[in-house]
Amino acid sequence: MYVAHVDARPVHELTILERINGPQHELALRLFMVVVLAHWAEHLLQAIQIYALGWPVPEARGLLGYFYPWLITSEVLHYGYALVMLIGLLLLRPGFTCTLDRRWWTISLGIQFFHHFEHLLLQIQAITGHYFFGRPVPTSLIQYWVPRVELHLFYNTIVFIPMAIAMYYHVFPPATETVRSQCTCAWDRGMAGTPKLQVG
Amino acid sequence: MVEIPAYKIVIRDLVLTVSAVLVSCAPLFAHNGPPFPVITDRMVGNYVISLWADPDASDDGDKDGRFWVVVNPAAKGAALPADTVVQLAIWPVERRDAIRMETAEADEREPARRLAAFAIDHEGKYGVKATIAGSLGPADIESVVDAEYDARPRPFLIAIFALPFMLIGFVYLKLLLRRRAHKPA
Repeated sequence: MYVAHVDARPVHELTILERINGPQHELALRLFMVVVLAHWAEHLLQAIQIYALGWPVPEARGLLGYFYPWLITSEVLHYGYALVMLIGLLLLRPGFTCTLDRRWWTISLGIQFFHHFEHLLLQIQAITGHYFFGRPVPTSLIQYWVPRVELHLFYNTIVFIPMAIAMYYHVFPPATETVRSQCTCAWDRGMAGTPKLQVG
Repeated sequence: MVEIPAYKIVIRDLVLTVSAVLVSCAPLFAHNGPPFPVITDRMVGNYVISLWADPDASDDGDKDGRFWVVVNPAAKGAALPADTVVQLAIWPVERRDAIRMETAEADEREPARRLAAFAIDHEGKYGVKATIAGSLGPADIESVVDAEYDARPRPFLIAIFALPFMLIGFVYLKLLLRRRAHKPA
């Protein structure tokens, strides 16, 4: 069982937010990782369809795109995933209570927040018809310096890296960490480990 | 708790940071993405001209190959005459005779911005030429662009797509092994 001893209340009396950042943080984090990796799997599968299976590029649409072709070109899917990422990063952040894991998770959240700010700027340009930097199409700030960057991939990559680092420090907190987390994610507290929670 | 020497943490942070920089730079070389500038603010005749391209190929005849011409009078403060017409032509570089032309439509909110779209039925290099005519006189610009399917990732991106699985796989595999090793008897 997942066990947390920091909050004396029984699990069923905790709010959802308290649960997913306490006794169920490990489970919530794993579910979040499944969603994140499923997204990357779609990109990977598309590349495999093209380069390993030799599918024509327009037919190589990953798994979701295979059954729902319209999804792959839909902005809703890309933006929807970005939104899920932002919400997940925000909701699960309180569970990162140590110095290093919280720092890296916050960096990831900050980048994802900026990603959404870019979406807002693009939307404003599309609505007003006034495009930044005298360009013929709505342009993001990043594209001012790197005109050909593929934003979806760029942001997902630079958001994922600090997230993975945060995960590492969360699961394997350095000995220098003085504050222990309230969840069961750390290697010495999980399902298979001894539940020897400490506070302070 | 496991004691980790400070230098190990520094080395690990360094490796992770360098990896992050390398990984985040990699997509910059991808073709996929927004329209990109081919020619920027080139003075030709009485005009300052920019050419932008999003030369996506398609198999179903869709006009996914889009080109923008931003044309302004060279004289500062002057307005672009209403009779200015921009024609765009594209052709596969190996077959100049297969040239196709379109009159670029003016943006209703910004007349200096013109757009033409073509159905590009195969990948490869295409010549592109914008010809401007009007009361300010004639002008033209020419360049070459690489047409590709929008959805085609560069082969090296497979490494980027696989990286999350390696990183998270590493964390969870290490977690599994560590927990097993310390499992109470």
